[in-house]
Amino acid sequence: MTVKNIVDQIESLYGRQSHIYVMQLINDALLDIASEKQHYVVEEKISLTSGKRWYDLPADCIDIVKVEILDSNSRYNLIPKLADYHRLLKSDPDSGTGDVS
Amino acid sequence: MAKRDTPNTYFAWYNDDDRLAVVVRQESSDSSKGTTSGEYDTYLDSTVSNGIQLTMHSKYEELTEVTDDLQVDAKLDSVMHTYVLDYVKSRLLEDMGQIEASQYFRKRFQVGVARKPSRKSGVRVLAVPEL
Repeated sequence: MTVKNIVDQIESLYGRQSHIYVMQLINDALLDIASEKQHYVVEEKISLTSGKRWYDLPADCIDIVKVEILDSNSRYNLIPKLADYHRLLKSDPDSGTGDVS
Repeated sequence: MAKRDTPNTYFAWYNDDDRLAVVVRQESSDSSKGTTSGEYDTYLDSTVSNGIQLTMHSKYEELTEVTDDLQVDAKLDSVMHTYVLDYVKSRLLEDMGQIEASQYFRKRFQVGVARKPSRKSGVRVLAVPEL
């Protein structure tokens, strides 16, 4: 179904409508659906940078499914999520000094 | 480089609201860096282009043209398309002051979205601990 199909159906019921406004409403609907159901899975590649701990997540990201690291055989390996980082980690060198814990 | 031979042994990740942190387990203590063996610290080896692959749930793509397709361009499952129509009707009727009719379509939208099953994949097993 295209935006035009929706506009046509809406106009046949409610008369002439602004296409831009209807498109905005469709985008609002997509945001509402995304907040309820996470069906759209995307993969993104980022460079692993020496000395960098924090990487900005894409603005469209709702939640992280998995993170993989490119191994020395050029294959991506799944890595675990660190659950108790507040006890394990030393300070974040990007933001200052002092232990996290 | 050795750590990237078996990344799942050394690397780990965590996140805050809008950032991802990638850290590496230290193999030995280093008093100059203030780290001890087994602790996690920032990756300090050579930079690797496309070295991190992030899989995430994403918002749908924004539509910008009247010719854009909900499935092809927004990546919305075709089952959900009628719910988008319900949402648009609800908002337009709200603008027209027809609140009761608006709520009818809003309810249809909400029930439809809630009823749509999550896409399931992979093998399902019971995580029974070994005693």
